[in-house]
This record gives sequence, C-alpha cells and structure tokens, in this order.
Amino acid sequence: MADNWTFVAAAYVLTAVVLALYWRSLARREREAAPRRAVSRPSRDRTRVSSSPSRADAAPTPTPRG
Amino acid sequence: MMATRVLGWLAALGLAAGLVMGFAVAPREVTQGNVQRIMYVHVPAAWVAYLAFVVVFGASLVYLATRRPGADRLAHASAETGVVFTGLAIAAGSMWGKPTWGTWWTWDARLTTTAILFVIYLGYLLLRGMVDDPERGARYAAVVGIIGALDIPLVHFSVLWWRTLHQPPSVGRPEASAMDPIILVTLLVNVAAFTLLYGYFVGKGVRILRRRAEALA
Repeated sequence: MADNWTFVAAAYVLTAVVLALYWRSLARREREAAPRRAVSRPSRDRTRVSSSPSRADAAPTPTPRG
Repeated sequence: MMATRVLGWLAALGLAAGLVMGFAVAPREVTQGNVQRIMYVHVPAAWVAYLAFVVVFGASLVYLATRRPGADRLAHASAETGVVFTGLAIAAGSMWGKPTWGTWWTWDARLTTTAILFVIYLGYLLLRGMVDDPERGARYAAVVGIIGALDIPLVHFSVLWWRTLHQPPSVGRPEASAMDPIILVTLLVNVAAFTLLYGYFVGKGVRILRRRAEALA
C-alpha cells in the first residue's frame, strides 16, 4: 500500500495547530481572569526651561489600596 | 499552579518523545504502510476523550450529591478539553480513513457513536453558556454529563458488538493484542503524553473558572 505521507503530515499538523490554539486560548483566558490591582499614578510633567533637559516631576502620590 | 506547570512540561517532553518514537523508532506497518502512523495521534486523542468524559461523569455525580463548586468546575473544564480531543480524534481518524477505506466518513457504529459523543458534550458546553443562573446551569449540565457518559461504552464496544468498517480496538480488547511490541510501546508513550496534556489543560481550565467565580463573588 502507498505510504500517503500527505495524510500523515496533515493529521499531525492539524493536531499540533489545534492543540496550540487551544493552549493559547487557555493562556489568554487565564490572563483575563487573573486578579488585577488598580494602581493609578499621576502623569509626570516634563518641562524643559533651558537647553539642558530637566524635568519638573510632581511627587507621585500613592493611591491607598483597599 | 506548580503542579499544572509540571504537568505541562512533562506533557511537552512526552509529546516530543512520542513524536520521535512515532517516526524514528516505530517500524513501517506491514499492511497499511506509513499511513498507520496516524494511529499515534488518533488513538491517544480518542483515549483522552474517553477519560475526559468519564471525569465529567464522576465530577457531575459528586456535584449533584454535594453541590461542591470545585466538582462543577472540574466537570466543566474536563468537558471542554474532551470536546477538543474528540474533534481531533474524529479529524485524524478521517485522514486515516480516506487512504485506508477510500472515504473520509462512513456511518458505521464507531464513527457514528463518536460523533454523537462529540455533539452531546458540545451541547453540554452550549447549555452552560445559555443558562443565566450559574447554579441551575451547573445542575442541568451535570445531568447531561451523566447521561452523555452512557455513550462511552457504546463507542468503545461498537466495533465488537456490530459489523463495522472501523478496526477492532488496538488495546483494551478481550483477547491479547497482536500488535508489534515496538508499535504498542510507541502508542502507549503517546497515550501517556496526551494524558499529561489533558491534565495540564484541565488544570488551567479549573483555575480559570475558579478565578472567574472569585471575581464575581
């Protein structure tokens, strides 16, 4: 009987693709379901007053975690 | 989480070993030629499908008896993984059937009962998504999971009970296997690898469901 390598390759490639896609789907859902901690920080003002770059940073005020 | 990660790495190693054995160690089959190597994905996928739905059956029984959320999450995760592997078993089997039988599909007992199994558990997943109340959805799904498992022995023994195009089981048959020992070992290595992969997927699935439940609580 002929070896039909095309069918063998198709079966293995399909298996690999499906399992890889399922694994990625699980990984994505796991990331989405992961508990998140909301930490907001004020944006930093960057103001250049002279040729040498300098930054005027507002002191970051940590938001209380509750 | 560590246990799931270990399972994942073991599964990856097992799959690599199974691949090497399937192509470099196992001999060319005398009757079918190299197309027989599809067995090393088809049979393990079918085995995992059996395992997954037996787990759904057991976890569903536990959930109905105790209402433990962990049992429901296990059933849900196992059903999803089982549907994936059942679909793979059908697809790989189809690719094996075309050059061997001359057809992609036939309504013989094994293929038909496997297709029914796939549809039942697909329905299980859809049912869970359709019922708004999670507890009621879990109960309905548990009933489907228990009744659906009745199809598993039908699938496995169909090739012995009825006249089918599908060959008799390679392992798990009443008489001793007549398979070449190297082919048998290669098959078992792949079965083990797929089983580890199932454990890894279900572990991740259970964790996802638990985190979602905690987020809603």
